[in-house]
Amino acid sequence: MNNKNHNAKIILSGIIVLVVFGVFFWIQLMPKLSSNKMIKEIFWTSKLINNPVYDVLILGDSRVYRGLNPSVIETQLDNQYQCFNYGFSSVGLDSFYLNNAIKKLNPNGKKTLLIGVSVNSFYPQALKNEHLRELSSESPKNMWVKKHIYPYLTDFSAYSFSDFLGFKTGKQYFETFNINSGFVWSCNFPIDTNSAVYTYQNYFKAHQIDTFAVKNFVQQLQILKNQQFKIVLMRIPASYSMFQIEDKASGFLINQLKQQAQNLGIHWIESTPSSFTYDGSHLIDKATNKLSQDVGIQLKTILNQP
Amino acid sequence: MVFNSLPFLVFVLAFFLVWARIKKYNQLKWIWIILMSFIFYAWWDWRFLFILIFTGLVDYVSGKKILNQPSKKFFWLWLSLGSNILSLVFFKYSGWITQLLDDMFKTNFHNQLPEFSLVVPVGISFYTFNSMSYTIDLYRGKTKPAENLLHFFAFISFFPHLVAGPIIRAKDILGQLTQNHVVNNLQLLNGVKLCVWGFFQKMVLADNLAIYVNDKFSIVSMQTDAMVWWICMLAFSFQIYFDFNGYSTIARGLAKLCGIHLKLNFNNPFLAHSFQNFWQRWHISLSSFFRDYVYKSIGGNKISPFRTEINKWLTMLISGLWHGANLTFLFWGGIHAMFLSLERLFKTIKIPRFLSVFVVFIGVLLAWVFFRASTIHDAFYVIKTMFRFNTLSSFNSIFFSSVFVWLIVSFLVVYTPKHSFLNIIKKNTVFQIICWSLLILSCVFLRGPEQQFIYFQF
Repeated sequence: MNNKNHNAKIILSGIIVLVVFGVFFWIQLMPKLSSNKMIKEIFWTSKLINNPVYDVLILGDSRVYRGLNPSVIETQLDNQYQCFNYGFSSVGLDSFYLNNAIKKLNPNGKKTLLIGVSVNSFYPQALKNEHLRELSSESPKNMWVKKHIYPYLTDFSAYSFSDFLGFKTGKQYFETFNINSGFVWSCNFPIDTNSAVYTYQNYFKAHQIDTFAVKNFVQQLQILKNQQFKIVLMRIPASYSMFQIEDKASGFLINQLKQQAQNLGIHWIESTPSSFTYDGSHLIDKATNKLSQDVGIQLKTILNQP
Repeated sequence: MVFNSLPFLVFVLAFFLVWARIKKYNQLKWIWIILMSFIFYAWWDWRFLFILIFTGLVDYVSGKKILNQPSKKFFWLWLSLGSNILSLVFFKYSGWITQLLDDMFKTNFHNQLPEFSLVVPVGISFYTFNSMSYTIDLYRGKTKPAENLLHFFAFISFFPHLVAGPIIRAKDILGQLTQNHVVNNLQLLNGVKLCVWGFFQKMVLADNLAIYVNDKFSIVSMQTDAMVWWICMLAFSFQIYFDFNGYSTIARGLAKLCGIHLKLNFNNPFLAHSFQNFWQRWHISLSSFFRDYVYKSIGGNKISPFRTEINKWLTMLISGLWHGANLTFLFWGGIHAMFLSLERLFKTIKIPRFLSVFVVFIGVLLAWVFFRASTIHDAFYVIKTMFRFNTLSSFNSIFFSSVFVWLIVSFLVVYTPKHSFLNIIKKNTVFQIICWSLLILSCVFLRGPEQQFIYFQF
């Protein structure tokens, strides 16, 4: 028994030493992750619990938070206004989301909402707002841990099988999370401008757009406008075939929305399909810069209007 | 606070740091266990702590009265059972029941429910069952009463088993709690090994398999390929096993570090050669609870073959409902009852063991569809698609993906003969150090996205 007890002590000590060395060598020797999952968690939590200090809030789904860079827009606005990208994955443009968003605006600021409208935002799955709800349902204690403790632990981020495969084959999904602006720079290698198109096509075939949600959205815009919020709408560029599928499935919803918004006196920024996407739905980095610059210039004019 | 989270790591270090100093002081150690268990529970929502305390107090007083007032012991038993069952019904089933009534009779009960009744307190199904087993066993004269309130609350709230089991019986734990908790290096090593093995199952295997499963179940109607659903349900079968067995193993490991032995909750269920055998190996603490307190209480197999079948069906349906307030769980229980009845009907037919293991595995896998799907409609869609055998278009996307790798690892973990493997490791100290260190490193660097344990929702 004594012998076994002694052996157990050796094993326990050995495990501790080997684990410490293992962690050290892993951090030193492994290639850095193309998408750090811990930084990702800090990013989303920060987005949710940031203080309401912004003049311009950019709203919409992944096309928005991967497509519009607030830092570039701020430069175009002569750094006079604070912008933040409050986009979430597959977001539904309903009152839950919009009411959450306006709490982030500085009540004494410009109170401007730049909303990236997407057809998918009015489909049942998006209207569940699962991403936002999941993040919001996290306890304040966990959010605190993520915001204040995780930044010291980013070296311990987990690797997935696709990361290892990516190191070997070059097939990688790169993401850089800009915690201060809410913007995600992303790219998928190799580029395949049809990869997202097929998924959307299947989804649109199997589901119907929620016309009630569209009506509600327009009503919500009217209410916000009456509350002195400045509202700007736009369609974030995607590939030509993606726009075609969306327009066909939705019965040209975006055109109708544009018409209704303009009738309410809401600004609309024009956009066209882009050839510079990495999956048909999201823009590559240079295209996001160009788009953000263009939007910034137009936004400046709008913000200068009384 | 979930086991696989950073706050728990800090919590458990603080617990054992103090525990090592105070475990020799009789009253102090009880207070420490209760205090830390309450903090552990209150981390989710401190308000629900009052339910735990309230039902615990009722059960403790009822237990005392059962012994002191034998003529009224039936009343005290039902007071205890009633308070537990009522709190379960109120918090877990009221939303579902009122919704059903509203749908059937066009009433408006659901909207009149207080908001807090729609949130299920974490682990309510587990601690109420622990507590009920105490008064039932006292009533039946099968256990001794807790010496005092501190002992009793240490038994029901002991944090390793509090929120997701294993469901423990008073007779198994009260005696152990009063003993001296000397933990030597060998027990310490065994406790650490159990924790590491549990964390590996949960964080590496279950959480990585969950990525694929959650993705497919997020929009069920998007997946039209039979192969996708077979792979998905295979992944879910392993996910739920590693998730729950992982939790139980960590709980056993933590208890062992305190010098307390908790019984095995899973015994290689995927090696079961019959459905009856499956239930002797899967979630053993719950199966034995239902066997002893429900099945046997309504007559078991003592009355007639027909009544035996009825009792079996009733027990399985209640067991299904215990898992959640949804028709899907009722179906899940019903399907298992049907398997058990069919098995009894065809028990004379002998088939090779490997074939019976395979048949049971497939049956259990199909039943999991109802367990995992959010609605009956989704569950039938999945089952229908699985038997369509339409295309193999997803062959490449599955066989060159991470889910395939994790399925292979899962197969190896489940079907490698454990004893021979462990014997090889045990013989060589260096090999042991390397193996356990690699498992710890995998938990750090190969863990899947942090997920709650599946059984927390029950």
